[in-house]
Amino acid sequence: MSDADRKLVARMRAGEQSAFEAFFATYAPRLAAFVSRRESLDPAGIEDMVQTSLIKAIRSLGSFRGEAALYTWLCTICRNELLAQRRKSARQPVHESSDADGAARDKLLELCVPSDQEPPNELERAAHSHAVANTLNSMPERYARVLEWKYGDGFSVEEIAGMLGVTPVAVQSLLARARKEFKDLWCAETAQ
Amino acid sequence: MTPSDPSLPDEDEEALEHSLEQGLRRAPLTDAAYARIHAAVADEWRASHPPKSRWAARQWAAMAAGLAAIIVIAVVVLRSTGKPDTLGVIARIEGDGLILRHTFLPDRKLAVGTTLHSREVFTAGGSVLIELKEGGTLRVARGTRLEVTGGGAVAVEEGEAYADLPPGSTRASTFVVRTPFGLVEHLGTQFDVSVNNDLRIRVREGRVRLRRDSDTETVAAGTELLVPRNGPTTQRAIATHGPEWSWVEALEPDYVIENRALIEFLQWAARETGRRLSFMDEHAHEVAEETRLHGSISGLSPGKALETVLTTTSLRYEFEDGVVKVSSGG
Repeated sequence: MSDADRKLVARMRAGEQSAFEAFFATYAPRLAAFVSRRESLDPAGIEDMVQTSLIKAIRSLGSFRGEAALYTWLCTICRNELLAQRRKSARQPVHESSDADGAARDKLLELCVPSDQEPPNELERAAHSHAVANTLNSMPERYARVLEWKYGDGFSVEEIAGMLGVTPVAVQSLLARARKEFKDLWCAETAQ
Repeated sequence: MTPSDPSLPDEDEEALEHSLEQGLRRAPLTDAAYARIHAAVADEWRASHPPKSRWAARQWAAMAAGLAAIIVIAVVVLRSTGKPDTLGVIARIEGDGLILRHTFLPDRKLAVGTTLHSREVFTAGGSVLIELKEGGTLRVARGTRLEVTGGGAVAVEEGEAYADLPPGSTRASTFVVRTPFGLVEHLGTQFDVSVNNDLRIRVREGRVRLRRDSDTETVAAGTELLVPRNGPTTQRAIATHGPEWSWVEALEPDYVIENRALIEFLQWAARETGRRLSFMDEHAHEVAEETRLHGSISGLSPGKALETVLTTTSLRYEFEDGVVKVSSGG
Protein backbone atom coordinates (compact mmCIF):
# COMPACT_ATOMS: atom_id res chain seq x y z
CA MET A 1 0.00 0.00 0.00
CA SER A 2 2.90 2.34 0.82
CA ASP A 3 5.64 2.83 -1.73
CA ALA A 4 8.05 3.69 1.08
CA ASP A 5 7.35 0.33 2.74
CA ARG A 6 7.93 -1.56 -0.49
CA LYS A 7 11.21 0.29 -1.06
CA LEU A 8 12.35 -0.34 2.50
CA VAL A 9 11.64 -4.06 2.19
CA ALA A 10 13.40 -4.21 -1.19
CA ARG A 11 16.49 -2.57 0.30
CA MET A 12 16.45 -4.98 3.23
CA ARG A 13 16.19 -7.92 0.87
CA ALA A 14 19.21 -6.55 -0.98
CA GLY A 15 21.15 -6.70 2.29
CA GLU A 16 21.36 -2.94 2.85
CA GLN A 17 22.39 -2.37 6.47
CA SER A 18 20.86 1.13 6.76
CA ALA A 19 17.49 -0.27 5.65
CA PHE A 20 17.61 -2.92 8.34
CA GLU A 21 18.52 -0.33 10.98
CA ALA A 22 15.63 1.92 9.89
CA PHE A 23 13.25 -1.05 9.96
CA PHE A 24 14.35 -2.07 13.45
CA ALA A 25 14.30 1.45 14.91
CA THR A 26 10.83 2.11 13.49
CA TYR A 27 9.07 -1.12 14.26
CA ALA A 28 10.70 -2.93 17.22
CA PRO A 29 9.48 -0.42 19.87
CA ARG A 30 6.05 -0.23 18.24
CA LEU A 31 5.74 -3.98 18.19
CA ALA A 32 6.77 -4.15 21.85
CA ALA A 33 4.04 -1.63 22.67
CA PHE A 34 1.58 -3.58 20.51
CA VAL A 35 2.34 -6.78 22.48
CA SER A 36 2.13 -5.09 25.87
CA ARG A 37 -1.27 -3.60 25.02
CA ARG A 38 -2.64 -7.03 24.18
CA GLU A 39 -1.09 -9.45 26.62
CA SER A 40 -0.10 -9.35 30.29
CA LEU A 41 3.45 -10.49 29.75
CA ASP A 42 6.51 -9.68 31.82
CA PRO A 43 9.32 -7.81 30.00
CA ALA A 44 11.13 -11.07 29.20
CA GLY A 45 7.95 -12.43 27.62
CA ILE A 46 7.46 -9.26 25.58
CA GLU A 47 11.09 -9.42 24.48
CA ASP A 48 10.68 -13.03 23.34
CA MET A 49 7.48 -12.20 21.50
CA VAL A 50 8.94 -9.18 19.66
CA GLN A 51 12.07 -11.10 18.75
CA THR A 52 10.17 -14.12 17.49
CA SER A 53 7.76 -11.97 15.46
CA LEU A 54 10.55 -9.93 13.88
CA ILE A 55 12.54 -13.04 13.01
CA LYS A 56 9.47 -14.59 11.38
CA ALA A 57 8.94 -11.35 9.48
CA ILE A 58 12.57 -11.34 8.31
CA ARG A 59 12.21 -14.91 7.09
CA SER A 60 9.01 -13.98 5.23
CA LEU A 61 10.21 -10.71 3.71
CA GLY A 62 9.96 -12.31 0.27
CA SER A 63 6.23 -12.75 0.74
CA PHE A 64 5.63 -9.08 1.57
CA ARG A 65 3.90 -7.66 -1.48
CA GLY A 66 3.02 -4.26 -0.08
CA GLU A 67 -0.72 -4.91 -0.24
CA ALA A 68 -0.92 -3.96 3.43
CA ALA A 69 1.24 -1.47 5.28
CA LEU A 70 4.44 -2.96 6.68
CA TYR A 71 3.33 -2.23 10.24
CA THR A 72 -0.05 -3.93 9.84
CA TRP A 73 1.72 -6.91 8.23
CA LEU A 74 4.07 -7.11 11.23
CA CYS A 75 1.12 -6.82 13.63
CA THR A 76 -0.59 -9.73 11.86
CA ILE A 77 2.51 -11.88 12.32
CA CYS A 78 2.73 -10.82 15.95
CA ARG A 79 -0.97 -11.49 16.55
CA ASN A 80 -0.54 -15.03 15.19
CA GLU A 81 2.45 -15.56 17.48
CA LEU A 82 0.43 -14.37 20.47
CA LEU A 83 -2.33 -16.83 19.57
CA ALA A 84 0.19 -19.67 19.23
CA GLN A 85 1.70 -18.71 22.56
CA ARG A 86 -1.70 -18.73 24.25
CA ARG A 87 -2.46 -22.19 22.85
CA LYS A 88 0.93 -23.44 24.00
CA SER A 89 0.46 -21.99 27.50
CA ALA A 90 -3.00 -23.56 27.75
CA ARG A 91 -1.46 -26.99 27.08
CA GLN A 92 1.24 -26.63 29.72
CA PRO A 93 0.56 -27.60 33.34
CA VAL A 94 0.81 -24.83 35.90
CA HIS A 95 3.66 -25.19 38.38
CA GLU A 96 3.71 -23.51 41.73
CA SER A 97 7.13 -22.52 42.94
CA SER A 98 8.04 -23.21 46.52
CA ASP A 99 11.34 -21.46 46.03
CA ALA A 100 11.95 -19.47 49.16
CA ASP A 101 14.40 -17.27 47.30
CA GLY A 102 11.58 -16.20 45.00
CA ALA A 103 9.93 -14.06 47.65
CA ALA A 104 13.23 -12.44 48.51
CA ARG A 105 13.92 -11.76 44.84
CA ASP A 106 10.48 -10.18 44.43
CA LYS A 107 11.17 -8.03 47.44
CA LEU A 108 14.45 -6.88 45.90
CA LEU A 109 12.73 -6.14 42.61
CA GLU A 110 10.20 -4.02 44.46
CA LEU A 111 13.06 -1.99 45.86
CA CYS A 112 14.36 -1.42 42.34
CA VAL A 113 11.09 -0.07 40.94
CA PRO A 114 11.56 3.51 39.70
CA SER A 115 9.74 6.12 41.77
CA ASP A 116 7.32 6.98 38.96
CA GLN A 117 6.26 3.32 38.88
CA GLU A 118 5.65 2.89 42.57
CA PRO A 119 2.55 0.85 43.32
CA PRO A 120 -0.04 3.67 43.67
CA ASN A 121 1.06 5.37 40.43
CA GLU A 122 1.45 2.09 38.64
CA LEU A 123 -1.95 0.82 39.78
CA GLU A 124 -3.63 4.02 38.70
CA ARG A 125 -1.87 3.90 35.35
CA ALA A 126 -2.77 0.23 34.84
CA ALA A 127 -6.42 0.89 35.72
CA HIS A 128 -6.56 3.78 33.27
CA SER A 129 -4.90 1.73 30.51
CA HIS A 130 -7.33 -1.09 31.14
CA ALA A 131 -10.31 1.27 30.94
CA VAL A 132 -9.03 2.82 27.70
CA ALA A 133 -8.49 -0.65 26.21
CA ASN A 134 -12.02 -1.68 27.21
CA THR A 135 -13.49 1.39 25.56
CA LEU A 136 -11.45 0.81 22.39
CA ASN A 137 -12.61 -2.80 22.30
CA SER A 138 -16.22 -1.68 22.17
CA MET A 139 -15.57 0.71 19.27
CA PRO A 140 -15.72 -0.06 15.54
CA GLU A 141 -12.40 -1.64 14.54
CA ARG A 142 -11.34 1.13 12.14
CA TYR A 143 -11.83 3.79 14.83
CA ALA A 144 -9.94 1.80 17.48
CA ARG A 145 -7.10 1.04 15.09
CA VAL A 146 -6.60 4.65 14.01
CA LEU A 147 -6.60 5.87 17.65
CA GLU A 148 -4.07 3.20 18.61
CA TRP A 149 -1.79 4.15 15.73
CA LYS A 150 -2.01 7.85 16.48
CA TYR A 151 -1.88 7.90 20.28
CA GLY A 152 -0.29 4.55 21.09
CA ASP A 153 2.28 4.16 18.33
CA GLY A 154 2.85 7.85 17.63
CA PHE A 155 2.33 7.62 13.86
CA SER A 156 1.78 10.98 12.17
CA VAL A 157 -1.39 11.73 10.22
CA GLU A 158 0.65 11.46 7.00
CA GLU A 159 2.02 8.05 7.99
CA ILE A 160 -1.47 6.78 8.82
CA ALA A 161 -2.68 8.15 5.49
CA GLY A 162 0.04 6.11 3.78
CA MET A 163 -0.90 3.00 5.74
CA LEU A 164 -4.59 3.33 4.92
CA GLY A 165 -4.09 4.56 1.37
CA VAL A 166 -6.19 7.70 1.91
CA THR A 167 -5.42 11.43 2.07
CA PRO A 168 -4.25 13.13 5.28
CA VAL A 169 -7.48 15.14 5.29
CA ALA A 170 -9.46 11.90 5.32
CA VAL A 171 -7.36 10.66 8.24
CA GLN A 172 -7.99 13.90 10.17
CA SER A 173 -11.68 13.44 9.64
CA LEU A 174 -11.53 9.76 10.65
CA LEU A 175 -9.59 10.67 13.80
CA ALA A 176 -12.14 13.33 14.73
CA ARG A 177 -14.98 10.83 14.41
CA ALA A 178 -13.02 8.21 16.34
CA ARG A 179 -12.27 10.64 19.17
CA LYS A 180 -15.94 11.62 19.38
CA GLU A 181 -17.00 7.97 19.48
CA PHE A 182 -14.37 7.27 22.16
CA LYS A 183 -15.52 10.20 24.26
CA ASP A 184 -19.19 9.23 24.02
CA LEU A 185 -18.48 5.62 25.02
CA TRP A 186 -16.12 6.64 27.81
CA CYS A 187 -18.66 9.04 29.28
CA ALA A 188 -21.38 6.42 29.07
CA GLU A 189 -19.17 3.89 30.86
CA THR A 190 -18.04 6.27 33.60
CA ALA A 191 -21.63 7.41 34.13
CA GLN A 192 -22.71 3.80 34.88
CA MET B 1 -7.49 10.46 35.14
CA THR B 2 -10.47 10.68 32.84
CA PRO B 3 -10.12 11.29 29.11
CA SER B 4 -12.65 14.06 28.92
CA ASP B 5 -15.19 14.86 31.56
CA PRO B 6 -18.73 15.13 30.11
CA SER B 7 -18.96 18.54 31.73
CA LEU B 8 -15.97 19.81 29.80
CA PRO B 9 -16.59 21.71 26.61
CA ASP B 10 -16.43 19.73 23.38
CA GLU B 11 -13.40 21.64 22.21
CA ASP B 12 -11.33 20.26 25.06
CA GLU B 13 -9.61 17.91 22.68
CA GLU B 14 -6.24 18.31 24.35
CA ALA B 15 -7.33 16.54 27.54
CA LEU B 16 -8.84 13.73 25.51
CA GLU B 17 -5.68 13.29 23.44
CA HIS B 18 -3.49 13.36 26.53
CA SER B 19 -5.64 10.75 28.19
CA LEU B 20 -5.52 8.49 25.13
CA GLU B 21 -1.74 8.77 25.08
CA GLN B 22 -1.59 7.95 28.79
CA GLY B 23 -3.72 4.89 28.22
CA LEU B 24 -2.06 3.64 25.04
CA ARG B 25 1.61 4.63 25.10
CA ARG B 26 3.94 1.88 26.21
CA ALA B 27 7.68 1.59 26.63
CA PRO B 28 7.87 -1.92 28.04
CA LEU B 29 11.48 -2.79 27.21
CA THR B 30 14.88 -1.48 28.21
CA ASP B 31 17.66 -0.48 25.81
CA ALA B 32 19.50 -3.68 26.75
CA ALA B 33 16.46 -5.74 25.73
CA TYR B 34 16.26 -3.94 22.37
CA ALA B 35 19.99 -4.53 21.88
CA ARG B 36 19.47 -8.26 22.43
CA ILE B 37 16.53 -8.37 20.04
CA HIS B 38 18.52 -6.36 17.52
CA ALA B 39 21.45 -8.80 17.69
CA ALA B 40 19.22 -11.83 17.15
CA VAL B 41 17.11 -10.29 14.37
CA ALA B 42 20.16 -8.81 12.61
CA ASP B 43 21.81 -12.22 12.74
CA GLU B 44 18.77 -13.77 11.06
CA TRP B 45 18.60 -10.95 8.51
CA ARG B 46 22.30 -11.27 7.58
CA ALA B 47 21.94 -15.03 7.20
CA SER B 48 18.83 -14.81 5.03
CA HIS B 49 19.62 -11.64 3.06
CA PRO B 50 23.34 -11.32 2.33
CA PRO B 51 24.45 -8.14 0.54
CA LYS B 52 23.66 -8.23 -3.19
CA SER B 53 27.26 -7.73 -4.23
CA ARG B 54 28.43 -10.76 -2.26
CA TRP B 55 25.53 -12.81 -3.57
CA ALA B 56 26.35 -11.82 -7.13
CA ALA B 57 29.97 -12.79 -6.60
CA ARG B 58 28.88 -16.20 -5.37
CA GLN B 59 26.69 -16.66 -8.45
CA TRP B 60 29.55 -15.78 -10.69
CA ALA B 61 31.78 -18.25 -8.89
CA ALA B 62 29.17 -20.96 -9.30
CA MET B 63 29.02 -20.34 -13.06
CA ALA B 64 32.76 -20.83 -13.27
CA ALA B 65 32.64 -23.97 -11.17
CA GLY B 66 34.38 -26.05 -13.84
CA LEU B 67 37.57 -24.10 -13.57
CA ALA B 68 39.34 -24.81 -10.31
CA ALA B 69 41.78 -21.94 -10.68
CA ILE B 70 38.99 -19.44 -11.15
CA ILE B 71 37.19 -20.80 -8.12
CA VAL B 72 40.30 -20.28 -6.02
CA ILE B 73 40.53 -16.67 -7.19
CA ALA B 74 36.82 -16.13 -6.56
CA VAL B 75 37.06 -17.45 -3.02
CA VAL B 76 40.09 -15.31 -2.29
CA VAL B 77 38.33 -12.26 -3.71
CA LEU B 78 35.19 -13.06 -1.77
CA ARG B 79 37.13 -13.39 1.47
CA SER B 80 38.92 -10.12 0.93
CA THR B 81 35.84 -8.04 0.04
CA GLY B 82 34.14 -6.00 2.70
CA LYS B 83 35.59 -5.14 6.06
CA PRO B 84 35.24 -8.14 8.37
CA ASP B 85 34.02 -7.66 11.92
CA THR B 86 36.52 -8.18 14.73
CA LEU B 87 35.62 -10.66 17.45
CA GLY B 88 38.61 -10.10 19.72
CA VAL B 89 42.22 -11.01 20.42
CA ILE B 90 43.83 -14.26 21.60
CA ALA B 91 44.99 -13.56 25.16
CA ARG B 92 46.18 -16.99 26.30
CA ILE B 93 46.88 -20.37 24.79
CA GLU B 94 47.28 -23.73 26.51
CA GLY B 95 48.59 -26.61 24.39
CA ASP B 96 48.38 -26.30 20.62
CA GLY B 97 46.10 -23.27 20.74
CA LEU B 98 43.97 -22.11 17.86
CA ILE B 99 44.47 -23.30 14.28
CA LEU B 100 43.05 -21.16 11.48
CA ARG B 101 41.48 -23.34 8.77
CA HIS B 102 41.75 -22.24 5.13
CA THR B 103 39.81 -23.74 2.28
CA PHE B 104 42.77 -23.90 -0.06
CA LEU B 105 45.78 -22.55 1.82
CA PRO B 106 47.58 -24.54 4.54
CA ASP B 107 46.24 -24.30 8.09
CA ARG B 108 47.97 -21.79 10.33
CA LYS B 109 48.61 -21.95 14.06
CA LEU B 110 47.77 -18.60 15.69
CA ALA B 111 49.84 -16.86 18.36
CA VAL B 112 48.82 -14.82 21.40
CA GLY B 113 47.88 -11.33 20.25
CA THR B 114 46.30 -12.46 16.96
CA THR B 115 43.05 -10.67 16.12
CA LEU B 116 40.14 -12.91 15.09
CA HIS B 117 37.78 -11.76 12.34
CA SER B 118 34.41 -12.78 11.01
CA ARG B 119 34.32 -15.54 8.36
CA GLU B 120 37.38 -17.23 9.90
CA VAL B 121 37.09 -20.89 10.87
CA PHE B 122 39.19 -22.43 13.63
CA THR B 123 39.94 -25.67 15.39
CA ALA B 124 41.21 -25.47 18.96
CA GLY B 125 44.27 -27.72 19.30
CA GLY B 126 44.44 -26.68 22.97
CA SER B 127 42.38 -24.41 25.17
CA VAL B 128 42.26 -20.72 24.31
CA LEU B 129 41.24 -17.48 26.01
CA ILE B 130 39.89 -14.78 23.70
CA GLU B 131 39.38 -11.24 24.96
CA LEU B 132 36.32 -9.92 23.17
CA LYS B 133 36.62 -6.58 21.44
CA GLU B 134 33.72 -5.03 23.30
CA GLY B 135 34.28 -6.52 26.73
CA GLY B 136 34.18 -9.95 28.30
CA THR B 137 35.97 -13.13 27.34
CA LEU B 138 35.36 -16.32 25.40
CA ARG B 139 37.18 -19.49 26.48
CA VAL B 140 37.39 -22.32 23.99
CA ALA B 141 38.09 -25.92 25.00
CA ARG B 142 40.49 -28.22 23.14
CA GLY B 143 38.98 -29.91 20.09
CA THR B 144 36.32 -27.26 19.49
CA ARG B 145 35.44 -26.27 15.91
CA LEU B 146 34.47 -22.63 15.82
CA GLU B 147 33.58 -20.02 13.21
CA VAL B 148 33.48 -16.28 13.85
CA THR B 149 30.20 -15.14 12.32
CA GLY B 150 30.27 -11.51 13.46
CA GLY B 151 31.71 -9.03 15.93
CA GLY B 152 29.55 -10.50 18.66
CA ALA B 153 28.74 -13.92 17.30
CA VAL B 154 30.40 -17.30 16.94
CA ALA B 155 29.21 -20.63 15.63
CA VAL B 156 30.25 -23.75 17.56
CA GLU B 157 29.96 -26.79 15.33
CA GLU B 158 31.44 -29.15 17.88
CA GLY B 159 33.18 -28.83 21.24
CA GLU B 160 32.82 -26.48 24.17
CA ALA B 161 33.01 -22.73 24.70
CA TYR B 162 32.49 -20.57 27.79
CA ALA B 163 31.40 -16.97 27.52
CA ASP B 164 31.90 -14.48 30.34
CA LEU B 165 30.16 -11.21 29.63
CA PRO B 166 30.15 -9.23 32.86
CA PRO B 167 27.42 -6.67 33.38
CA GLY B 168 28.68 -3.33 32.13
CA SER B 169 30.69 -4.58 29.16
CA THR B 170 29.42 -3.18 25.86
CA ARG B 171 29.11 -6.64 24.45
CA ALA B 172 27.10 -7.66 27.48
CA SER B 173 23.83 -7.32 25.62
CA THR B 174 24.56 -8.75 22.21
CA PHE B 175 26.64 -11.90 22.19
CA VAL B 176 25.30 -15.01 20.49
CA VAL B 177 26.56 -18.55 19.96
CA ARG B 178 25.12 -20.38 16.96
CA THR B 179 24.99 -24.18 17.23
CA PRO B 180 23.46 -26.87 15.02
CA PHE B 181 20.72 -27.10 17.67
CA GLY B 182 19.78 -23.42 17.76
CA LEU B 183 20.98 -19.99 18.70
CA VAL B 184 22.18 -19.36 22.26
CA GLU B 185 21.79 -15.76 23.38
CA HIS B 186 23.05 -14.53 26.69
CA LEU B 187 21.13 -12.15 28.92
CA GLY B 188 24.10 -10.78 30.92
CA THR B 189 25.95 -13.79 32.13
CA GLN B 190 28.62 -16.49 32.35
CA PHE B 191 27.65 -19.63 30.48
CA ASP B 192 29.09 -22.75 28.90
CA VAL B 193 27.93 -24.26 25.60
CA SER B 194 28.90 -27.81 24.76
CA VAL B 195 28.03 -29.31 21.36
CA ASN B 196 28.48 -33.00 20.65
CA ASN B 197 25.74 -35.52 20.03
CA ASP B 198 23.52 -33.16 21.97
CA LEU B 199 23.66 -29.54 23.09
CA ARG B 200 24.37 -28.77 26.74
CA ILE B 201 24.07 -25.24 28.10
CA ARG B 202 25.22 -24.60 31.67
CA VAL B 203 24.57 -21.17 33.15
CA ARG B 204 26.73 -19.88 35.94
CA GLU B 205 25.40 -16.35 36.26
CA GLY B 206 22.53 -14.37 34.72
CA ARG B 207 20.28 -16.01 32.14
CA VAL B 208 20.65 -17.54 28.70
CA ARG B 209 18.06 -18.03 26.01
CA LEU B 210 18.06 -20.81 23.41
CA ARG B 211 16.17 -19.99 20.23
CA ARG B 212 15.17 -22.76 17.86
CA ASP B 213 12.85 -21.84 14.97
CA SER B 214 10.01 -20.08 16.73
CA ASP B 215 10.62 -21.72 20.12
CA THR B 216 12.61 -20.08 22.87
CA GLU B 217 13.73 -21.54 26.16
CA THR B 218 15.29 -19.54 28.96
CA VAL B 219 17.90 -21.05 31.27
CA ALA B 220 18.59 -19.45 34.65
CA ALA B 221 21.81 -19.37 36.69
CA GLY B 222 22.65 -22.67 38.35
CA THR B 223 20.79 -24.63 35.68
CA GLU B 224 21.79 -26.96 32.87
CA LEU B 225 19.68 -27.33 29.73
CA LEU B 226 20.14 -30.52 27.74
CA VAL B 227 18.91 -30.54 24.14
CA PRO B 228 19.03 -33.97 22.47
CA ARG B 229 18.89 -34.38 18.70
CA ASN B 230 15.48 -35.93 19.12
CA GLY B 231 13.08 -35.69 21.99
CA PRO B 232 12.25 -33.07 24.58
CA THR B 233 14.72 -30.79 26.31
CA THR B 234 15.42 -31.20 30.02
CA GLN B 235 16.63 -28.79 32.68
CA ARG B 236 18.30 -29.63 35.98
CA ALA B 237 19.99 -27.72 38.78
CA ILE B 238 23.80 -27.77 38.77
CA ALA B 239 26.59 -26.40 40.94
CA THR B 240 28.21 -23.27 39.52
CA HIS B 241 31.57 -24.26 41.00
CA GLY B 242 33.67 -27.40 41.32
CA PRO B 243 35.81 -29.68 39.14
CA GLU B 244 33.54 -29.45 36.09
CA TRP B 245 34.51 -25.79 35.72
CA SER B 246 38.23 -26.29 36.27
CA TRP B 247 39.14 -25.91 32.57
CA VAL B 248 37.39 -22.53 32.62
CA GLU B 249 39.22 -21.40 35.75
CA ALA B 250 42.56 -22.53 34.29
CA LEU B 251 42.02 -20.00 31.49
CA GLU B 252 41.06 -17.01 33.60
CA PRO B 253 42.13 -13.63 32.16
CA ASP B 254 45.12 -11.92 33.77
CA TYR B 255 43.97 -9.93 36.74
CA VAL B 256 46.15 -7.05 37.91
CA ILE B 257 45.94 -6.54 41.67
CA GLU B 258 48.48 -3.71 41.97
CA ASN B 259 46.88 -0.83 43.90
CA ARG B 260 43.45 -2.44 43.63
CA ALA B 261 41.06 -2.59 46.59
CA LEU B 262 40.94 -6.00 48.27
CA ILE B 263 37.15 -6.08 47.93
CA GLU B 264 37.41 -5.83 44.12
CA PHE B 265 39.82 -8.75 44.07
CA LEU B 266 37.49 -10.80 46.29
CA GLN B 267 34.55 -10.07 43.99
CA TRP B 268 36.63 -11.12 40.98
CA ALA B 269 37.84 -14.33 42.64
CA ALA B 270 34.34 -15.27 43.78
CA ARG B 271 32.94 -14.70 40.28
CA GLU B 272 35.78 -16.61 38.61
CA THR B 273 35.17 -19.61 40.85
CA GLY B 274 31.40 -19.47 40.29
CA ARG B 275 30.62 -18.46 43.85
CA ARG B 276 28.94 -15.63 45.69
CA LEU B 277 30.93 -13.38 48.03
CA SER B 278 29.68 -12.97 51.58
CA PHE B 279 31.24 -11.12 54.54
CA MET B 280 30.64 -12.81 57.85
CA ASP B 281 31.16 -9.64 59.89
CA GLU B 282 31.18 -5.90 59.33
CA HIS B 283 34.85 -5.56 60.26
CA ALA B 284 35.86 -7.95 57.48
CA HIS B 285 33.88 -5.84 55.02
CA GLU B 286 35.60 -2.66 56.21
CA VAL B 287 39.05 -4.25 55.95
CA ALA B 288 38.29 -5.44 52.41
CA GLU B 289 37.20 -1.96 51.39
CA GLU B 290 40.15 -0.18 52.94
CA THR B 291 42.99 -2.54 52.00
CA ARG B 292 44.99 -1.80 48.84
CA LEU B 293 46.85 -4.69 47.21
CA HIS B 294 50.36 -4.74 45.79
CA GLY B 295 52.20 -7.39 43.81
CA SER B 296 51.03 -9.89 41.22
CA ILE B 297 48.96 -13.07 41.05
CA SER B 298 50.07 -13.89 37.52
CA GLY B 299 50.04 -17.62 36.84
CA LEU B 300 47.87 -18.47 39.86
CA SER B 301 44.41 -19.99 39.54
CA PRO B 302 41.63 -17.88 41.11
CA GLY B 303 41.42 -20.29 44.07
CA LYS B 304 45.16 -20.25 44.64
CA ALA B 305 45.23 -16.45 44.22
CA LEU B 306 42.53 -16.10 46.86
CA GLU B 307 44.51 -18.21 49.28
CA THR B 308 47.75 -16.35 48.55
CA VAL B 309 46.32 -12.85 48.82
CA LEU B 310 44.31 -13.44 51.98
CA THR B 311 47.32 -14.86 53.84
CA THR B 312 48.82 -11.36 53.55
CA THR B 313 45.79 -9.83 55.30
CA SER B 314 44.03 -10.30 58.62
CA LEU B 315 41.06 -11.94 56.88
CA ARG B 316 40.15 -15.61 56.51
CA TYR B 317 37.95 -17.36 54.00
CA GLU B 318 36.17 -20.63 53.44
CA PHE B 319 34.10 -22.10 50.61
CA GLU B 320 30.64 -23.25 51.62
CA ASP B 321 27.68 -24.11 49.34
CA GLY B 322 28.66 -21.88 46.47
CA VAL B 323 29.66 -19.00 48.74
CA VAL B 324 33.08 -17.53 49.54
CA LYS B 325 32.69 -16.62 53.21
CA VAL B 326 35.16 -13.98 54.35
CA SER B 327 35.59 -13.20 58.02
CA SER B 328 37.93 -11.36 60.41
CA GLY B 329 40.87 -13.38 61.60
CA GLY B 330 39.92 -12.88 65.23
